[in-house]
Amino acid sequence: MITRFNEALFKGLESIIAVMLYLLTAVVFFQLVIRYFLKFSYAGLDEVTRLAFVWVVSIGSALAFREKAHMGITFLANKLAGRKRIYLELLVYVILIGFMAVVIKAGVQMTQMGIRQFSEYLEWPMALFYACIPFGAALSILVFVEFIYVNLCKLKEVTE
Amino acid sequence: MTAVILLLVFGITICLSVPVAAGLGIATAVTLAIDRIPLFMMVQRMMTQINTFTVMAILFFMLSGEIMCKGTMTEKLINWAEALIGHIRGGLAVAAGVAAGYFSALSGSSAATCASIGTIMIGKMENRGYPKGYSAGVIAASGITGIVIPPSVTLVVYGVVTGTSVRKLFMAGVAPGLLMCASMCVLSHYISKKRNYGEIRQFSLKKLWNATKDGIFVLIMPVIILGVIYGGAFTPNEASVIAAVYAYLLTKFKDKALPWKVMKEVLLKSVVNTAVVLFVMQTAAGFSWVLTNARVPHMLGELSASLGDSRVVFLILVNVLLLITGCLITGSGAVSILAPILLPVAVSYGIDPIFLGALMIVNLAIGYITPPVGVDLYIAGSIGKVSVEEVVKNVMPYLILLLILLVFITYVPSFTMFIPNLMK
Repeated sequence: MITRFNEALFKGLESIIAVMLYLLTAVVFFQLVIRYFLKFSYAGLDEVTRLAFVWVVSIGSALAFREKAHMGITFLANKLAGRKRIYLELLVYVILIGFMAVVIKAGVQMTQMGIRQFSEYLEWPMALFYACIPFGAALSILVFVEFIYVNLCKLKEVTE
Repeated sequence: MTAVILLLVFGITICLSVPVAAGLGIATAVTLAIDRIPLFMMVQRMMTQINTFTVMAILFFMLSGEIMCKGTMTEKLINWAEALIGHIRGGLAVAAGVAAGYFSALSGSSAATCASIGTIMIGKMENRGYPKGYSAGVIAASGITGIVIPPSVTLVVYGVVTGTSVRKLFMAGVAPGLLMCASMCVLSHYISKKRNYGEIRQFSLKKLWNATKDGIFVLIMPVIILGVIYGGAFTPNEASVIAAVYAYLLTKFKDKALPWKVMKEVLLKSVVNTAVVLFVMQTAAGFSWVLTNARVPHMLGELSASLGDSRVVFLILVNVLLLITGCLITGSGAVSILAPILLPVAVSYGIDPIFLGALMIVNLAIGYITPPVGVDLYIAGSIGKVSVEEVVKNVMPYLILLLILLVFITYVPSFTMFIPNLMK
């Protein structure tokens, strides 16, 4: 269930961030060209691109967890096999969920404070920026729940 | 006490195989909770790390590297290097070194350099009778200059976490990077001569001319990128966007190799690779903040002073610390954690922050070919289908050479600082 849900969710998110990054690159490039040749720049646009950037990488971080791209030191864990390895992985995911829960709690606090802070040029509430942190953490938790479910299924298969 | 708990929690979590970035965050969160410091201080630091314009350069340099792997740009570069130097004994091994050095001036990561050159070159070398293990070893070693020769993602990370000029850092990477690249090429030639690898061919000016003409758009790219940064026409940040757009236009319209499906894959891979670097930066920001509050830089300075109060001793300490760290975690991670700790001590010894950055990068580049976590060893091994042990064995002569170069770079700072000092 969770696997299929995440599959659909991340497929959607992947398309969104791919398009966002494409546009982001184009906007930053054209702004550079305009600034260089016409000596004209609009600082508000910088804020929009930065906003897009922090959201892209925050979602990207959860995506990286799903693709197991975040580097860890695994040569000790690789010594374990079978059920023991699965138990270790379950423990790691539980720890990670705990950490992300802390990030969400603190991140929501920060976002609430950001409702009354405003960005320099566009005067948009900073909460729009800050919210990417708890959002990314929440997505990561979904990934860990999926991995725990997958590992529990594996645990049933491995009989030793 | 705080520092002990912090390091202990970090040590335990990463031994359990928790990703390093998360381990840094968990250790920070635990120590802050014990000291009753509100946790939003940590997330605030996580936010400020990514909410700057400079970090975007990391994303764009990743993007240009990924794009170049798709079309024919890498292939043209390799053909050119082969036409230039491939005729001597061990020519292909030397050409691999030249191509990797050139690719380093286009991409900001050692892993990307190793992967893209290796994918084409290892098979080529095998076809001409080089042993598999040796080919993989050459590629692993040649790839490491990716983070030393600018542009370099790791140098951008150093610039962001320490607040030093990325432009000057890039220029400080030029001399050490070229020295490493050239010395490794000479070593490849020497080893091939001794072991009778490869064949001597006739040099053909016509071939070189054709390869140059064919690859001209790729060959001028580093000149454009580094030229605009050196000349100050654009910031490294702007140059990163120019590089990405240039690679995109060339691959899309000249090679016609970027349908949206492939482009989407390229974009996502760059986002994921960037997120990996940034997540470490984010959590390391809290981690090194706690270490600094616990006066660890101060203690490190005292330790260095007690061992003999001189720059020389401190620099040995830095080298040892970085080589060990480089064995365990990747360049950007090590820089995010250690740069804020080492910088204040280095400054007290009168060491230029730019020089410290260059020195850190050279050490950590060597970390890409030191076991157990030498990323390039694994990449070259998996492309060449040889065991990591085999790659390690073949990389050894290069590793020894690099350590000798490291001593030179460490104790002759004017060699590294010559180019950045020329800049206004």
